[in-house]
Amino acid sequence: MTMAHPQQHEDAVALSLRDLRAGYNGRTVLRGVDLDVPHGTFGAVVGPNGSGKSTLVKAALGLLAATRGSARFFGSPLARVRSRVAYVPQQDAVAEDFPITAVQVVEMGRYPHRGWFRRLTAGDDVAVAEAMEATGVQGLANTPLDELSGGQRQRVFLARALAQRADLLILDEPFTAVDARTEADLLSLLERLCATGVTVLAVHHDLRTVRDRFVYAVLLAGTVVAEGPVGDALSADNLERAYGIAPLAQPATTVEA
Amino acid sequence: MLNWLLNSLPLPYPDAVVVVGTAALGFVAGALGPLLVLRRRAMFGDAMSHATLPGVAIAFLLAGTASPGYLLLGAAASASAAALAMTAMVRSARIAPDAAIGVVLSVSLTLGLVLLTHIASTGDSQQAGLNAYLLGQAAGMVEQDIALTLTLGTIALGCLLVWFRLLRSASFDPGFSAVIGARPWIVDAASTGLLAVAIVLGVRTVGAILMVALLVAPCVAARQLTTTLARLVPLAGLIGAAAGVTGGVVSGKAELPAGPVIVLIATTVAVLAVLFAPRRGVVARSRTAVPATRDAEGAR
Repeated sequence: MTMAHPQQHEDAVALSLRDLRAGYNGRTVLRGVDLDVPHGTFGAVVGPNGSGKSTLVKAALGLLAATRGSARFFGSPLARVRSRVAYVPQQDAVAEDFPITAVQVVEMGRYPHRGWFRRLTAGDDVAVAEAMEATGVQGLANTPLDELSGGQRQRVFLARALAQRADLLILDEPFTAVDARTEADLLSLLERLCATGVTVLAVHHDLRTVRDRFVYAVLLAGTVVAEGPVGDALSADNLERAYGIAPLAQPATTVEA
Repeated sequence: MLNWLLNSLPLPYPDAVVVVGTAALGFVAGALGPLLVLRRRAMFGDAMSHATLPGVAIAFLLAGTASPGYLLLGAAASASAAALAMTAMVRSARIAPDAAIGVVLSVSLTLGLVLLTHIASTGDSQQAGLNAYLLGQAAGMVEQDIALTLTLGTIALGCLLVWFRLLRSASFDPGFSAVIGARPWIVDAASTGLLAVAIVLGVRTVGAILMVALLVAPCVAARQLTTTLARLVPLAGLIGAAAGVTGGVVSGKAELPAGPVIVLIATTVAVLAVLFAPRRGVVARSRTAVPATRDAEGAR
């Protein structure tokens, strides 16, 4: 038997994983993952290449069948709280040349509330407009997505997550193919969002950014090496255990994904 | 209603049947084509289309008659079997999708050709017309064919309209859509089923070998001219209808098989759109040199 999920504190823990095991084509990438992401934190999932960062996110969200273990969001299975969980996938998981405009992408954030058949309401339109303004893409509403830069695209996808008004944002490598200014803008926006009580969990490969800006971190290397406040989780000892070297020892070194 | 339409066209009755029939078929195929193209499953559809051939031949051998109803039922059954076989090969046997498609496509064509050759060699007087399923034939279309195309086509397009939000979301961003509750197997089953309808409706007129082109070419052309799926779908339908009508009429007059003529016309439209479309065309893009916003954002 596996440990029970924390039922009574359903609003204290945004995401809870118990003995999660997952992989691809019979090859196990992640095993024995036990994790409780506190609600309201600004969290990062870090680890070396192939350590299972994206696998963790995909298995938790059911995009990849976990071969063992379970995931709960706010104490419930995902199917019961879909509207409370917003997902921003990796850029290359989205059809590149799809005929869709920026505002149509952001409107998808309202579908968990409206379902696949009902019309969007005036309230939905307000949520969409506010989200696009927050990420600075209100002027691009009717621009086709394939005419946007990488940074603008990511602002649109973050606007979709904001429009959903979710309690937990899960982002998979949100800052790849994004210019430095967009990364800084989006990081501040996510920080402000956390201040309003939303939980953010982002897969990220840049340890320096994580140490400087994030509050909570999960360090992976096939399983959870450490989790907790960034300073503790990313201690020199833990990093050496995960990476086999001390990646933050030299100045200005980042570990690329 | 249909009768009135056929009689009011300024054409001899058999020609009017061909025009209306190929227009309806072209519209349905063109409008459903985005389910293949935008989900990057064109070759999957091609294999399904080839797989109609053995179904047609087996249905003829079992029923002993070339009545289109039986043959299309056979086509639908074997196309669905091919789709299931490819899905099972990829999911359960971990065979790469392109390999699964390659195997099913060539085995289907081979089996179809062997059976059709066998039927031809028995000299059965009923076998006349079976070869139409290879390269297509518009002449000889009858009113019931149109009625079938209109009925099934309307149902398929109605499903596309009702499931539009689901199919668009899941095609564009499958990960996000699955997280908010779109079950991938339902999306796959729905789009494969709608494609099967388009393929079965078109296989006699356009032929098993070429049917996929009537699904793909109108969508490629319409993609060059539109920026949203809600406009792309009807435009692809209209381009498909235009290609169907022109091809159907020309092939009748020139005594050519209908499939190749329809496909050549649809492909010509697609090539012209790829080259000369106002914003996305090759020519327009080479004139503006730098894609306006893609790399310039940091400078703003």
